[in-house]
Amino acid sequence: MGLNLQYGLMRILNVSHGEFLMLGAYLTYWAHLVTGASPFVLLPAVLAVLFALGLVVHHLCFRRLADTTPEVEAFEAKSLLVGFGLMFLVQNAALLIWGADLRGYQYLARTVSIAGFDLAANRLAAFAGALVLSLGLILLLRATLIGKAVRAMMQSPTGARLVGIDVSRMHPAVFGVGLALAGVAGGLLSMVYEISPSMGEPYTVTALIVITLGGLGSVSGSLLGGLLLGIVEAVGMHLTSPSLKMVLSYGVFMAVLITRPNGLFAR
Amino acid sequence: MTRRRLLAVGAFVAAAGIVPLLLDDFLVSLALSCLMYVALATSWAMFSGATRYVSLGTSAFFGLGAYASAWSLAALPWPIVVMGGSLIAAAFAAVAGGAILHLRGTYFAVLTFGMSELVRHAITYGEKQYAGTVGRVLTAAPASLTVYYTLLAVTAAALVTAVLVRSSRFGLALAGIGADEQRAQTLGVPTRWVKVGGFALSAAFAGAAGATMAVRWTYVDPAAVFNPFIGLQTVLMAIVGGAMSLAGPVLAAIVFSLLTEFLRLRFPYVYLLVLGTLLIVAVLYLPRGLAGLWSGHASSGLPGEARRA
Amino acid sequence: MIRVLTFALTLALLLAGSTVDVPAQSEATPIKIGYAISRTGPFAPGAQVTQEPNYLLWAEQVNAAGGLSVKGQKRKIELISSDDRSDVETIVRTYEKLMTVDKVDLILPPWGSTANFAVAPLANKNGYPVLAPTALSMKLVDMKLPYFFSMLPQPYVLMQAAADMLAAQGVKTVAVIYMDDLFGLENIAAFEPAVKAKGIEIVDKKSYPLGVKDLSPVLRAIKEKNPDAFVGLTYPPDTILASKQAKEISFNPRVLHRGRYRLPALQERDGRRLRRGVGHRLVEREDEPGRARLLRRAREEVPEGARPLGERPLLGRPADPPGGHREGRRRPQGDPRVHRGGRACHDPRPAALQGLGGAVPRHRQPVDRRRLRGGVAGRPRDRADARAEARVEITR
Repeated sequence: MGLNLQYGLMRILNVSHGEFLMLGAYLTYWAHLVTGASPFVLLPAVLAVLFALGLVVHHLCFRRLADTTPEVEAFEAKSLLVGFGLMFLVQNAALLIWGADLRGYQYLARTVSIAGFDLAANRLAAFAGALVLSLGLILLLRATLIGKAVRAMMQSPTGARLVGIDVSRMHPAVFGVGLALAGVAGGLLSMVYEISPSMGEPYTVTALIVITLGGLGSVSGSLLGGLLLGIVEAVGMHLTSPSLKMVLSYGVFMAVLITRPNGLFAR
Repeated sequence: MTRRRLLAVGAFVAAAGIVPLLLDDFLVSLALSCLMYVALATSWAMFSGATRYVSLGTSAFFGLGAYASAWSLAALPWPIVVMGGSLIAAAFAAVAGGAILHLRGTYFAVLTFGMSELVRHAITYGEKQYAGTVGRVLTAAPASLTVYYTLLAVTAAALVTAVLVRSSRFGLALAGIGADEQRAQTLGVPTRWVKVGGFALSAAFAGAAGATMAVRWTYVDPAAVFNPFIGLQTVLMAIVGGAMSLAGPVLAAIVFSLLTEFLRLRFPYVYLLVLGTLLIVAVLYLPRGLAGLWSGHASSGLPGEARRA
Repeated sequence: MIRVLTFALTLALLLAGSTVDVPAQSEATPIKIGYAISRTGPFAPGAQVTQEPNYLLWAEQVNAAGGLSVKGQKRKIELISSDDRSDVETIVRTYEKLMTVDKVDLILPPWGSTANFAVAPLANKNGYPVLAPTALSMKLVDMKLPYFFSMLPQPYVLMQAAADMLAAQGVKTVAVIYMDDLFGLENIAAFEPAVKAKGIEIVDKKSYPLGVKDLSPVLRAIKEKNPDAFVGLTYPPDTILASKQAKEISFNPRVLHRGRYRLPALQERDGRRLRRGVGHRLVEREDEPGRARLLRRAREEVPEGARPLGERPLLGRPADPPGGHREGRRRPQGDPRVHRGGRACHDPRPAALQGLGGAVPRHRQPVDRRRLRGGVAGRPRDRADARAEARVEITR
């Protein structure tokens, strides 16, 4: 979701997205251990930290890149490289600070029974958190003036500039929001899973697939894409075996893109 | 022009050829991994650099080559094993390319990545289902010098092909697709076939490299040979070097391999930190890739700006 | 192109030059022990939980005690390590460097079967013993490399013991999940005949890929079939996942048999709701030198996340029953006995290597290395297999 926003807006294909997710997870883990507070209370702090980090990263890397490379395609290629650089950096930093083994804490690890299904409370809470966040973002984009500005920039950067939107201030902010979302997602995940510095990459891959499935640059598309992939995986796993699940979900992904080259929900 | 480039390739191959005579095992094996990435990056740039179709599927071709080698090593003579790896990868690329090459830009990139994951899981599943195993042990491995010279031959072939393609009609067609696909089509270029052909050609070398390298590992399993890391590293090198040039990917593959190795062994705990920083700085301050470093002050014969179709 | 060459050669020379500055020391030269292990990439969680901490802990401990005793002389251990990025080619290259350029005295193996497959022939060629704690494959053993010693009991032994244990618990039906790689496949291949011979029925058998994130659909399906026992032939992260998710869906069979690891993280997560959690581990001799010291030190080495809960042993497992220990203590000295330990202790390498102390080559003379092999030969492969029985421990 956050990744899609970044890409849609600025053509930054951030391959280090998962690393920021990992960072968010570690921050939550660490703050939870130190303060003992509920991870939910800590999430806004994580959000703020990663937003600030996003501004810094954008300022240091992508602003200069955007200045020196005007053409879109070259910019995409280069932002890919910068993403790799960031990936190495962040991963190594986490490795140094927290060590490479698995970490975890226990939060809401009791079982809740809903309509005959037993679900773990922390899973439920994480899911609810993610849903609230996504809906909040959609609402923000649809209903507010800022959202309108962001959408305008996605459609036409030059046009947006013409009607007086301050593109140079919006870009870092949106990049920051992207990272902040990744961070919060990481925080939510840390409630459910064990975390390690190498946890980010699979999420980057999944995120890329989901947004591509939903159509790049479309926020609600990525929400639906995510749901679709989730359903395919769950059903596939139930009907066959988890090993075949991956074949199935990649197969669906390829089939969708081959037939609908601009994503499932392209206009 | 082409002759000059071929001479340079010849010099490169000759230099690489005497490496095993001069250096110890470790440096030879370092040279080997440089060569592997030279072959991969060159073959990648041959297609993706020219057409601007960024493919993340190199690891699929590499892995297919490796598996081909695992399947046939015991039964067939070594040169045929390597060629078989390259043929299987190329055939797969031709089929897959026919299906996915109408996609552009990031969709294509993500799809090729998905493709390599799909191949990996499909092979895992197939092997498990029908062979009752996932990995394969390669016992009849050739000597390491044989591996080195085979890979050198593959690399040389990739370089020569890259040089020849550049000056051929086929190469011009690829470059035309990169510049403006619709216009190329209007001018009578059979874009579909050119794209599929280029994709398969590039895959052939990745497959050959995979088939050659696999025997060094004694044991191949999907996680090791379809390692996405190999594909990503290739793309990284090619773009850092300047994907449209000929020497750029070669230079970047060598520099990047050596640099990574140097940092990794010298600073085992912080090397990624250093590498990441260097990479970002390089991208930000070398806008034309490493190739841009010298093509600025060298004669125009160098390929940095030679792509004037 | 010529510039490319010059540049590359310069860099190669720099690299070559940088690797040779070994400082000469007057007193007892340290014993150089080299290894590469995954600190990044998909193998990292496994390697970092079950292997590298042990190396570090071992070196630290031995050095604190003055070093390894080599022919009566105490020599410190110097570890030379690097990250292998979970990439096989990098592993091969690094070990080549360790053995042919750095000429370390000993090597420690990388993590996982794939990596050990790549390293074993290489080490064999160069005459370095590999004592692999995380390589499990009959194929590797069948290669009959004289310098390769597997420290894990191989699938047949392990699964036979598991079947014995299940039968002893009166289990009639069992469901099993296994990892989609050599580890899982060889284990399952050994597991099936072993349990069938005991008259136990396998009601469900599912495999899963590396890096799985959600096993709950599988576990739910298994729960419906209500087997007496659940067996997971799993890797560390998945072991945790399966245990946790089993708890979430209140899947609580009589016997829950997981992977082969003792994991600190698992103990944090495992509540007490699992009626029976069973793991198998290597059996070690009670009188193994240094064992008590190692355990003590390992207890101090607890990750920050794991907080002691009363008497709950952090490195044993949650609520290791006093009964189990007592039973062990009553055994006569020298009897095989469960090696109780966690993070640092389930890998018997430290003790094993200490046992070799006297035979460590003085300064990589070929003769010495051969002698070392002789010294090792008494312990390893065959005996390790024979010696290793998975012993059952049952928590409430």
